Amino acid sequence: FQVEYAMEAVKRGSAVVGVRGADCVVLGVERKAVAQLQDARTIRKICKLDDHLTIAFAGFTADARVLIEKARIEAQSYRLTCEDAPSIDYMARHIAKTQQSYTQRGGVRPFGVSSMISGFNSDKSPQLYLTDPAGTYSAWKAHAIGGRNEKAVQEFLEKNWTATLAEDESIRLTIKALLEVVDSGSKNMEVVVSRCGEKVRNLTEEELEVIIADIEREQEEAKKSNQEATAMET
Amino acid sequence: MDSVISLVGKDFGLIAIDTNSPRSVIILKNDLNKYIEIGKNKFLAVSGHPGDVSQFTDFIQKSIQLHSLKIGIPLSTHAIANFIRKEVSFCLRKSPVKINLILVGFDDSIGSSLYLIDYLGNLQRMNYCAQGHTSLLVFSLLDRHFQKEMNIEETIGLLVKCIGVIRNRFLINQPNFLIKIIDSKGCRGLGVL
Repeated sequence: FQVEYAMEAVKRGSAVVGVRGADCVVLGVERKAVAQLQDARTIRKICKLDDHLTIAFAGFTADARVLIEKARIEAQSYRLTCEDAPSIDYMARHIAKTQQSYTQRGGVRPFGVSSMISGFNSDKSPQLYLTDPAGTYSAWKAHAIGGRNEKAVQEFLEKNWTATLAEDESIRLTIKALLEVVDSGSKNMEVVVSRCGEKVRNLTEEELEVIIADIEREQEEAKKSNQEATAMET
Repeated sequence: MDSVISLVGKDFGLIAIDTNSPRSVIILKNDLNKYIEIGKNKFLAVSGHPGDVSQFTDFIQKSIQLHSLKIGIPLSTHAIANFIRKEVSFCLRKSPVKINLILVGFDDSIGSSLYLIDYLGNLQRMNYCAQGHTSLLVFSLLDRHFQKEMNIEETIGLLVKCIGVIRNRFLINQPNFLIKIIDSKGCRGLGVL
């Protein structure tokens, strides 16, 4: 049962969307409205696991902090022994192993965290991995966790994902998927783009505003042309 | 057996390290890099037993990387120097590491700084330093000619003098000295002397 409760905790967390493009990976998170006196900058939902790996999580923030801490130490320990950067598969497997070990011991409860890890393989292909409280890990082309309607966002992604998404198209798809659950506004989301070999890029509020305005304009026009089409039919 | 000479100038730090890798009476390799870069503009020149050198410096480098990832901002040179000193002291009463380290770093707030951490865990911030047997020859030269806030040409001139004395008087042949500079732009090589 504990594992199911943990999965429920993840469902109640804020939404995370990950999209794998042709040469980049985009992670978008919903930033829930902060209280008036709270400093929004201190809430980090997308964290660096290592120079080339980024992780976003949904669920208990405190559990995620502990998990990410363990993962970071493991990444550096791997670098110390193997003098090489850990592969994203290795890190996902390690995080999943940690989560699983907490489901099969006495006196502990599972981590109420699902995480999405973005990175690149040794052959420079982009990868998106997902781990869940039960301890399974899998690679995805696009996925959504947490948020009000996880299923709806997932279906949206399934409909709109293609194998040849360029960087800006991947960003648009991520933001569109997030807009399904998030109230509009760049203040409510955070989007991070990883490209192979380059520093991970955090989209600024201005950039987000521009893209969101564009998407909304597109949706308005689509709605209008739909209305005109139905008006003509009747 | 290693020679390391290090100076601090105006907004930069300079290190000259010999590139010999000896094994009893033979030189195994004469283009060895006896240094390690920590972060963007911190630089560690190490001298001592080769095994200890690799083991200890790798550990320091990865620990500091983990620390910057955890905290999100890079450590200052002062903090790194104290961290290294702590590690050396920790090992001292159990299994001492036989290495001497010179840490040179550039921080935007305080400029360049040079720290010496020796194998007993002594930590000193200095303006100029030399390691190895050649320190006996080089310190007197540095004492006489070093001035604060020298520019790059003057510093290299002083280094050339020091290396000249080493080549003249030191028993062991050290043909190549690798020169590295650390300033606000990061860490880069200036060539081999």
